[in-house]
Amino acid sequence: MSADLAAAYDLLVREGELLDDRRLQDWLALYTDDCVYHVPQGTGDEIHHVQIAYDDKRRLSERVLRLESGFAYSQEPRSITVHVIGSVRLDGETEAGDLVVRSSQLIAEVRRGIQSDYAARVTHHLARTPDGLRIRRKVIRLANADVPLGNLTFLL
Amino acid sequence: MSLTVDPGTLITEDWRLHGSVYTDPEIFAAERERIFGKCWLYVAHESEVREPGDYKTTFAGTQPVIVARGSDDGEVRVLINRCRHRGATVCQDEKGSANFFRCAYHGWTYRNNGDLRGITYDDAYTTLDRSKLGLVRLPRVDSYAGFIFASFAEEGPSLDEYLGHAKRYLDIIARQGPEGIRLSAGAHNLTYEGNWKLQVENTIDNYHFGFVHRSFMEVLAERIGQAPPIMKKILHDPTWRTIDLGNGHAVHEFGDPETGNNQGQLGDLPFNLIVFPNLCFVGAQLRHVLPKRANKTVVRLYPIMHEGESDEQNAAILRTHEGFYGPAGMGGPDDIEIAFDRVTDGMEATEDDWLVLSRGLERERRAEDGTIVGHAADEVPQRAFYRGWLAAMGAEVNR
Repeated sequence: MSADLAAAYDLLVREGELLDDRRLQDWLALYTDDCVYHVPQGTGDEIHHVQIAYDDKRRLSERVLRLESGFAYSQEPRSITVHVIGSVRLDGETEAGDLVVRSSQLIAEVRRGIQSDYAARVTHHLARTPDGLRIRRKVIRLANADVPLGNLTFLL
Repeated sequence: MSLTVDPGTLITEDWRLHGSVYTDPEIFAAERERIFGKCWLYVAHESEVREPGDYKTTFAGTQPVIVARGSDDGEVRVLINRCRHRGATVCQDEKGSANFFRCAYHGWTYRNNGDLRGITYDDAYTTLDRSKLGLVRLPRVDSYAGFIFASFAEEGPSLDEYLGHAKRYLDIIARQGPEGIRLSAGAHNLTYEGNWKLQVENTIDNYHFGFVHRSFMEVLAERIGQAPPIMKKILHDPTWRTIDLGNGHAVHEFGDPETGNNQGQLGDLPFNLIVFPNLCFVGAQLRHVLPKRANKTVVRLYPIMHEGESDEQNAAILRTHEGFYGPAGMGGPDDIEIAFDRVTDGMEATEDDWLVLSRGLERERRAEDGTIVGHAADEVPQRAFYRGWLAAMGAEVNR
């Protein structure tokens, strides 16, 4: 395993663990200030088509604020999640020199006594910073993005 | 479908509503026949079927249909999406353009005006009248301000009469963009295990906003650096009004219906509107409520794009919409949790099975044009909806 792949793998696993532990401030700190957090719907064309989420850092911070407010009823009771992260591989670099990392993820969620499984093909763009790798872009392509969904207010 | 209960007994004269209205499969079956079988039902916006041959699949109430603009004559028809042979749906795509619909089961083919064009290996039929085996067409289709409606009833009030006082508001929605509007951005798809009426009522309920959406209010406060004005407006601004528009339709105005704004950063429609039975407008979206069973509903939220504005401006409408609505929104899912799921859980208790819908009953007043006007956080729209419901269900409306 190359050093880049090892570092990318560590970051993805860490991200999943922070989400499952609901350490949202620590999770947010993994993202660069110019980040995009994208849960596509349709072709993923965010200019012309509604998306499940197309967040900048500000919107992501708002989500965290809301989830920690004590009044986010769609997360009361909260979702218990388990991120299973596999097939992590490098897929070149962006023009800015970010690592492009692809993975397949299964996010099991339990809430209101019901288990929902969200399968996703995920792409990360990881920026090399003095503090290590940081997430500049995360695209979560859900297998069920285009069917009627319930509650996706936990973070993917 | 005969109901064993008289629907008029399900709402009292002092506006208590019986819980079975949300839970009883027999009432749902009667609604399918009496409401969705008779009323004008929204099916599409003309921007979705602009060119001859364009089609969209959707539901007219509970039934799967194809809204198709004829390739030959440009006329919009609403065809039941069910092969006349053995019943399979003949069109699977959400939208597209086609001259023919071909059933994959045994290859029966229909023109996009519904006519049966061909039966495969048809020497096995000698007396079959092909002219009577086209896709079933809804007998009446009409549009207002670009919104296409259809009805399963051969006769009844015209669409114009049916919409009545709601027309003014549809006109305003149609003018949201400098050159009109279009539904070109797809839709958020939601589902919940509860009754369809919960979603319609909740669309036009200001009373809940500060409670259910308290977490979003905290987000708003962070955005604008002060307590958001929306609750103060709801409780104290006399220009924020709820209005029973008649025929089950209702509106909540945020001041002037041409220029008002709820200041909640939910989208810039100047009012919330419900068109009986299952069409709603809120935020920047057209909301189509699709009943499935007494306790299952699908909701489609179509962001309204502005013709004559730039991609950037329309993308900003999408981002604002996504901030509150959709499965990952910071507002809509709180409605699903509280107004649908918790209500449905609560309905399991039937010991005293009555809800209270009388908020503001004593202070609503009838205007000269026959509409009923009330305060912003009063339940005028819910009563408007249930007056329409009673009438459609065949009960006397004397409350």
